[in-house]
Amino acid sequence: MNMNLLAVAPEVIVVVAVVALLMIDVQWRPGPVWWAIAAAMGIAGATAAVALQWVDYRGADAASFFSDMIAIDGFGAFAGMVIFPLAGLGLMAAWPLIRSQGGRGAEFVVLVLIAATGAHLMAAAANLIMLFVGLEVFSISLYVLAGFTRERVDADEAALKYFLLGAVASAIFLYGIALVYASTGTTSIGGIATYLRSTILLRPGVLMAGMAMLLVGLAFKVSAAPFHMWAPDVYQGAPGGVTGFLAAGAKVAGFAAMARVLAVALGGRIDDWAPAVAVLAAVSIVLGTLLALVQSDLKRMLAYSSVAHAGFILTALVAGANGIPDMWFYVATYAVQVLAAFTVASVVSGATQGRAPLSDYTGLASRSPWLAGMLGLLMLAMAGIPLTAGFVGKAAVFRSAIDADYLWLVIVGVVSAVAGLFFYLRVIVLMYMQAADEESGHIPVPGGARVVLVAVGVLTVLIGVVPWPLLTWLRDALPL
Amino acid sequence: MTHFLETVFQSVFWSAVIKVVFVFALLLLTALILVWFERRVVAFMQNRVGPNRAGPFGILQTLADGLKLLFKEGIRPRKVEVGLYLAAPIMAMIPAFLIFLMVPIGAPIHIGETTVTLQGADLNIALLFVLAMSSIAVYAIVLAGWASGSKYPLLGGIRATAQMISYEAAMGLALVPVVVFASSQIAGGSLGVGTMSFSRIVALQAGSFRGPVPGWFVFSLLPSFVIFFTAAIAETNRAPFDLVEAESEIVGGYHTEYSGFRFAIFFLAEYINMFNLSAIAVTLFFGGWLGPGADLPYVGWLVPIFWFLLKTYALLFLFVWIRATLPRLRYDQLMTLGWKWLIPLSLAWLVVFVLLQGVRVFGMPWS
Amino acid sequence: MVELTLFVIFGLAAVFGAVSMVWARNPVYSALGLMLTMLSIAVFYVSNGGYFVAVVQVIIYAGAVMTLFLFVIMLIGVDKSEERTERLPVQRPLALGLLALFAAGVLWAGRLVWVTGAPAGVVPVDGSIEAIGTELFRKWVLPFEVTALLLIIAAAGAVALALFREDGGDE
Repeated sequence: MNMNLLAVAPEVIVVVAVVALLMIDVQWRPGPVWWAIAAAMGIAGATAAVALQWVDYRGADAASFFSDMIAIDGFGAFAGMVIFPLAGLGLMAAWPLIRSQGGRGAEFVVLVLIAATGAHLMAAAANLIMLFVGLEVFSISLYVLAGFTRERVDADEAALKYFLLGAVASAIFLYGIALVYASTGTTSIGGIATYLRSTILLRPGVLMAGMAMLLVGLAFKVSAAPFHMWAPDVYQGAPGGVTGFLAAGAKVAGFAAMARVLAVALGGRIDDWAPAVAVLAAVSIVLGTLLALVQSDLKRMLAYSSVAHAGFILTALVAGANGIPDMWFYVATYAVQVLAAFTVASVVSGATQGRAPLSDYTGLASRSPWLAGMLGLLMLAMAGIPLTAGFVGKAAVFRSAIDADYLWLVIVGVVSAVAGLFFYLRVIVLMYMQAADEESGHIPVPGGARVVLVAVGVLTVLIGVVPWPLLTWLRDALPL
Repeated sequence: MTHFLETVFQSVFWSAVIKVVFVFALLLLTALILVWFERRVVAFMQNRVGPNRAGPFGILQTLADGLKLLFKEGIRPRKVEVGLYLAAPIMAMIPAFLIFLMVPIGAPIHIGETTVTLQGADLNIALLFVLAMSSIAVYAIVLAGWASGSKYPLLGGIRATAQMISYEAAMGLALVPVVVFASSQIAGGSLGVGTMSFSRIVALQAGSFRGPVPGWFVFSLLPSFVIFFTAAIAETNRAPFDLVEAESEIVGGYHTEYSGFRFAIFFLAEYINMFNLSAIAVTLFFGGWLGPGADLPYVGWLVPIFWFLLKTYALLFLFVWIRATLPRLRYDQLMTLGWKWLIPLSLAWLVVFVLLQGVRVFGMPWS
Repeated sequence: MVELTLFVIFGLAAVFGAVSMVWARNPVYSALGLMLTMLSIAVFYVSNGGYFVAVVQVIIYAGAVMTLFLFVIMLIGVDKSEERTERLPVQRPLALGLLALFAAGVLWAGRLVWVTGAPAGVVPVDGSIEAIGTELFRKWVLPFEVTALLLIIAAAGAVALALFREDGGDE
């Protein structure tokens, strides 16, 4: 067994922080400041560790450790560099919610940290079993987070729905692993790839079924249509402060796992799964866009738009391993955008609240011009207006799809993106062109949310104007 | 005759059949004696006489009671779930018998060329098997409570579930040091592969601990035994942990709606479980059937059985003694004892014990 | 021959348990159906030489998990049978139809060839505790340790959800 502590360093650091936090909290009840310190140290340490992995192992130097269980490669390291800061931003955005929960806040911080760990394990896994364990760690944390404020029935409903459907999806994924194991004789991702490249299966029925199940399980996690039914209810019911992390984290982890499983393990079978992925992508884009058009709640609208975005990201995956840099570009930029958008929703509609009716946003520009400006920028970025990161991301995934000869998918995507402009712009119209109710006043923005919004706003514009450094960088974010 | 027995015991099938029948008879007989034993002992402790009419010293009293129960009308209340109500007593009996199949009650006997082990089956995972069966035993009580369709049995059933889950954990944890210790005994002071087979664990206790003191595991693993025995009392729902059938609160608990022979089966199963756990404690901690005199002519093969029964009845006396002495716990005290004392204690003991073993094998970390 | 007999009997029992778990109106019978399935699977382990796994299966699933299920079912009230009125009348037949389609698809695609991969290991399967311990703590140690994280979130999550107060604060 080849041990390499750097391979598990991010996990170990986070877990040490988590355990310290839990123990100190039980013994001395030191309050939120110490939670913040523990979380900050854990996240900073883990980010440093993945950065070190990136420096040492990106590109051609990738390797796997612990009996081929976990890989250090550009792919996993980049995922970590997205996930851990994302957890930090999520905690900052959720801080009012955490403070409102009294002593339970410590558990909230713990769950977010562990969810980030699970997400990184999914991205760095070199074995399907490892990937599944990471997936479970990640998802179960999210189930609890979705139902954290139990005083509202809809939060309970969200958590229960997420849990039941998520458990079924996990079971399907596990069944998929079993079938792939039956047809290849290994659960190692590299081993499956080698086997499939070197062997011609005359009757690959079991493998096909396994592939389909793996795809379905992960499509659920990233809320790709038609496995998206949970997303609107969960995003609308979950407390405002945490919804951003739920949405963003699920996208990053889910697509990281999907790229590993499909593009690497089953890469030799791309002709079999690429059409299915393309159909999923097209259905997600069209359905997400159409349903987002008719929503009257900002969080619900963002949920359906996230279904559409899942479709756009899948568009990059039809190109297989070649599409991974473009997928990463889109996932990373979209994740921070959706986190920030839900943060605005939690500031305007309340951090513990689930619903965020669009009427709350009428005339927001005159009440809180800063918030309105931020939300407007995010809407433009998600719609894919040039000079924002969203535009570059869409351009990148479309390029991947064209390279893979999926022109029809690109046409569907472009048409839907234009249709999507309507609902994004509708929010801006509401905020800027309609008068506010007279009794509603200025909305105070908590410090954490302010940091999140400024950081994301700057990133979105910066990457939108000069995307080349990131794009070049991502050429090294390839899996083993 | 010898030749015939030899042929019979050479066949796996027939020897198994004989052993099963023997265990069945032995356990039923034991249960009969045990009920009488308990009533007499408790009576003497309370300055009473106890049953002394039927047979010598009243030893046939249980038989008389059993016959009476057999001939009584079996009343089946209208609101019961018939299938489970009828199945529950049987489900209580099965694990009780299966557990005892694991226990070696005497030294192996040689008939001609064939060696017959006095043990139903010598599994290499007997320890885990016992834990598994005792965890299944709770179903009978829960289902009896539920299928009775009445509130007191249901409460008894719920209590039984919580109680057995709580104490099973402590029981399992208390047994881990036994396996670890067995491994170091096998490897003669270093660390090796342990064993969970009862016959091998008994054999490992054959040596001497210090001088004339026998090598029973209880001298090295006293905390394990204490935790195991406490948990065993709770697992068998005996006083002071008999909340499952606390008559001052919930009438008869799970068997309130049972009468006649079906009630008798529950009653017997409870006593057989008590006997089982004592027998297992003897096997794991008190050297099982080991004892002097096994080389006597003619009766030599009976001596180990005698030692085994003697040790087991000594522990059973402890069961009865505790019942006669200690008042019943409150429910929250029961849970506190299980979760906040026994489980942490058994974990702490496990850690301490493994550290001690480590020091014994590898020396101090700095040396 | 013995193995085949065992497989047929307990395979049927396992399927029967699984179906009756879904079908039973009363949650207690559902739990019992699941228990039957768990025990049948334990028998499969035994017939494949995995004694340790079999016993652990009984201890964990039949002993602990299912007992807890029964406990919860009884605590929250066992008299409530499931209500079977469908809000969306098409969904049940539709689900069955899709399932049949999927099963047919898999059967057609697999034909009689189910296992195609390389043999999982050159070493013959050894179900002993030593072998399992070696595998678990050498090759699979990382996933094994990560499951400890699962336990942490289970505990932290349960505490967080159970500590809920109407005013949101604690103590």
